[in-house]
Amino acid sequence: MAESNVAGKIELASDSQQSTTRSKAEIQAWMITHLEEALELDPGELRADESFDRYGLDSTEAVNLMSSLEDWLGVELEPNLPYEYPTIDELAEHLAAGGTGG
Amino acid sequence: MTEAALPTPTQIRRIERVARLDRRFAWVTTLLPFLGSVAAVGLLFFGLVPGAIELILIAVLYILITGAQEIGWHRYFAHRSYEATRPLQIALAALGSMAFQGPLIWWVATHRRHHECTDAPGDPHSPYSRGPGWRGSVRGFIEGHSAWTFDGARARPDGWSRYAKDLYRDPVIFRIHYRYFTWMMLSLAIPALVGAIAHGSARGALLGLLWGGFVRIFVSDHFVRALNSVAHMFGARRFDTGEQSRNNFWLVIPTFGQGWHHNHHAFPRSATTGLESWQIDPGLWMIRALERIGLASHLKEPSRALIEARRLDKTVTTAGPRAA
Repeated sequence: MAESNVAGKIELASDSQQSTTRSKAEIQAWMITHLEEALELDPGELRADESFDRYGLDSTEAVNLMSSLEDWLGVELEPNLPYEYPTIDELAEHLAAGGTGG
Repeated sequence: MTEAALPTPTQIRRIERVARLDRRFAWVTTLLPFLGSVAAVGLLFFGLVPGAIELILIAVLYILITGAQEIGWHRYFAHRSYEATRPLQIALAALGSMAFQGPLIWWVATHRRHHECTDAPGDPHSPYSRGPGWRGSVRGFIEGHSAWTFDGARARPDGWSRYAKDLYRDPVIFRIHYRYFTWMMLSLAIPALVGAIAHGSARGALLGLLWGGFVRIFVSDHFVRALNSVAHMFGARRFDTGEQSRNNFWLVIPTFGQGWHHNHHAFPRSATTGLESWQIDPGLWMIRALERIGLASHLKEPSRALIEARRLDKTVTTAGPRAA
C-alpha cells in the first residue's frame, strides 16, 4: 500500500516536471490574460515590462496569481515570486527556465 | 507610451473599490474590539465577572503579542535594530500579527513612511495634519490616533509597498503576512479556548473571549495608537530631530518602552529606547533575555558621544507645533 503510494507520488512529480516546459511567450500570454481580468484592466492595457506594483497588485492577488499558475503549470511555486520578479517579463522568464522558489 | 502612466477609468474604478474595502476593513478592526469590550463591561452587571484566570490570560497574551509587536514588528522588522535567528523571526512575526494592527508587511512599510517624513506631508499618521489652532489639534489628534486608517491616501498611497521590499522577498515572512486573517481569528480563539478548558464551560469560553480577546486587544491597540497621537503632542523633547515626537513616561510600561518615543525618533535604529539609566525599557529587557538564550544578537545602540552631540541646549517641554 505504502509503496504504491510512493510510486504514485513519483509519477505525479515527474508529470509535473514535464509540464513546466512551457515557453516564456506562453507563460506571458497566460499571465496577461489572467491579470487583466483579476485587476479589472482593459484588454491590452497591461504591459509585460511594467512592475506589478504599477497596476496595484496586492498580496492577496499575488497569492491568487501564483496558485492559479501552480495549477496551470503543475508545479509548486513560492507565493511571493511576483515580488522577486516584479514584471511579467521577468517572472515568465524565471518560470520558463524552470525556476520555482525564490 | 506616456498614456500608460495615467490611470485609466477602469483603474480608477478599481482603486476606489480597493479604498472602499480598506475602509470597511478599518471599521471592522476598529469597532470589533471596541464593541467586544463594551459587551464585556456590560455583562459585568449580569454576573459575568473575570477572575484570576482571565487576568493571567490578559497579562500573558499582552506580553506575548503586544511585546512581540514592539520588539519584533517594530524594533526588528521595521528598523533591524538587532539580529534575530529564523525561529525568533517567525515567532515574532506570527505573534505580532495577533495585535489587530494590520498585516505585518503593510505595518512595516507604514512605519518606515512615518519615519521618512514625520509630522510633515506624507506622514501616514500625524496629529499635525489637520491645521493650526485648538480645533486643528483636536482633529489632528483623532486623525493621528485612528482616522488615518480610514483614509486610503494615507493608509495605502501609490507605491507604499516599495518601503518593505525586503520583507516581500522573504517567502516565509510573506506567508505569515498574507495569512493575517487567520492570526486575527487565533487572537480571539486562543483565549476562548483557554477559558473553556480552564473553567470547563461555555461561560468560561465567553469570559476568555471577552477579556483575553476583545478587551486585551482594545487596550493594547489604543496604547500603541497613542504613540502616534499622544506621544507626538505631550511630553519632553531633548534632541534636535526636526519633528514633534515626545518622551511620554505614562506610555512606557504599556508599550514595552516605546513611550520614550522621542528617543526612538532621534535614534530609530537603536535596539533600546531608554538612553539614560533611569529610562526603563521593558522591550530591551525582552531582547536581552532572547540574546541570553541565543535567539537575538548584535543589538545596536548609539554611543554616549552621539547621544550628547544631538542634545538640544535645554530640555523643552512645550506642546506647541514645531517649536524647535
